[in-house]
Amino acid sequence: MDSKEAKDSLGKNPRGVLFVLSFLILFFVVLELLCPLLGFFDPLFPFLVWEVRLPRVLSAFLAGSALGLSGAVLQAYFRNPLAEPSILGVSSMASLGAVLALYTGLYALFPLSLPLLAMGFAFLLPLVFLAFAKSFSKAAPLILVGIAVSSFVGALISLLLNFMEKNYALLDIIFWMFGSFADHTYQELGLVLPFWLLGIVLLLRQGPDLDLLSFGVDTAITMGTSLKKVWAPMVSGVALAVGSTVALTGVVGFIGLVTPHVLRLWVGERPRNLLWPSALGGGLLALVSDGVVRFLPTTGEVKVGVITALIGAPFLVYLVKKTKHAVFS
Amino acid sequence: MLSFHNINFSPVLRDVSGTLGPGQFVGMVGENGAGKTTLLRTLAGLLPADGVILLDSKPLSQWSIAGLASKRGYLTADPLCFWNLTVAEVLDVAGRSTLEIVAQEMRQWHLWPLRQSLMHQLSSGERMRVFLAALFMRDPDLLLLDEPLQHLDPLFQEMVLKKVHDFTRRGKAVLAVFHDLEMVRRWCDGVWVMQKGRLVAQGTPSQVLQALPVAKPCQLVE
Repeated sequence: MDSKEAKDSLGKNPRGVLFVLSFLILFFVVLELLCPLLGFFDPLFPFLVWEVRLPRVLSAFLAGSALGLSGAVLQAYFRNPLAEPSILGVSSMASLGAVLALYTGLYALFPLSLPLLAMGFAFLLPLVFLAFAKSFSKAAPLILVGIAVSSFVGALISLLLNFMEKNYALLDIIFWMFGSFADHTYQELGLVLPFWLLGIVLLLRQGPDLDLLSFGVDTAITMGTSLKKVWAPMVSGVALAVGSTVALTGVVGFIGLVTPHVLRLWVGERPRNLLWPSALGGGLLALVSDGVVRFLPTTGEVKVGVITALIGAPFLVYLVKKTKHAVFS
Repeated sequence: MLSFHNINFSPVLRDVSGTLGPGQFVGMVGENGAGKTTLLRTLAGLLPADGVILLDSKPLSQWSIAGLASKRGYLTADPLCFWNLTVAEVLDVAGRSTLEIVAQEMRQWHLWPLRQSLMHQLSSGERMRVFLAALFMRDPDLLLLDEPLQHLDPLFQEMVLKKVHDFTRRGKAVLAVFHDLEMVRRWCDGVWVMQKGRLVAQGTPSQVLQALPVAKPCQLVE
């Protein structure tokens, strides 16, 4: 009897949340697959669903879930509400790889070179971080290092763009850097999927240790975990999940930052309870943003990174004002 | 259970040695800055000090982090919870127990009515009680407590001291930092007096507290 009441006081039932999120995801997937821009009986309809829309929906979900889950894990690890996947420099390094593929013209010869090069670069920086893990015992310096690296890589990319002689790849690069879920093949998705899966599994397993880190580094150590213990699986997980999907879709901002904050209002703040919902919630957010992109009446398609930032930024400001939480005050 | 020799942690600790046996409840006293917290953190394995620390005759450095976690418990002077968890969630995370025990422990520590309260809404004393409850739920063999009575009202101070006392009667050891010498006199089996980074006196409360003039500045502090 007591234990039932104790269980009730452990916050919202995460299973109920997962059920609602899954239902919404399914709803949007079906909506985006079947929404009849062409008639159902048009001979092109099956082709449109299987070859155009399904890969698009899948890549949106893969990227969104990787970003949402990574955001939740990183915020819990650094105990900082500003932490998000870009602080490990994964996205900026992936951009550098992609820019190189476009810059050198490799992409024109061999299209898979773009995701491959972007992924390779995305994994590079975390490898460096892993090698120097011993010299980091506190969380705050790491965030600063991440910001420094991201700015440095951003500057490198700008420099490359300046040196570019021909402008034909310039637009490609700029478009890529705003992120898009459109025009991906099953071959590309197959390339990304194993890395994504491994990353997601690694990240989902960190729940109990992240819970303990809420009590501060000293108490966490005396209760059996440490920043060092979580560092390697976390960095690898983020690099694999985000690095592989960013390589495919380009930089999609704000999902990693906003998703955990939205879900905290719903499932409470316990880090472990946030992991699964953030994975599903991030996927859902990406699907919805992509839906908005598709139905906006513009001449050229708006990039999804534009939509996530346009919706995400004001929403975050609203959250900060509305939530009377110590984290924000 | 715990013995340490020639602990040095520059510039705070100088040649500190001592032993803590099973069933002992030792109170550590001393003025601010005497090195009490640093010694406690060193013994908990949180600071890399020079010297030998043996826990159950095994050097502290040879214990695994998980092994140590179930062997010794440690309470910081200002326990915190960064995210706004509920009381029940904190005990579920930190207590390593079944929900029955969580519920039972909440009743014992008078936390049951607060079980759904968020940590950031609690008073300092209530927060202290939550972390103390979690530590006792973990049931380690050695407890290192940094000012466990801080923020607690007299009723709960007595309750904590009684808990610690009963805990040591089960063959467990407790080393706790106190500022109230009267509490030490009434409840502890032994007293350690720290002064300027050295352990200057060890013994029973009656021996130590009467013999030493250092008792006075301790009383004045805070």
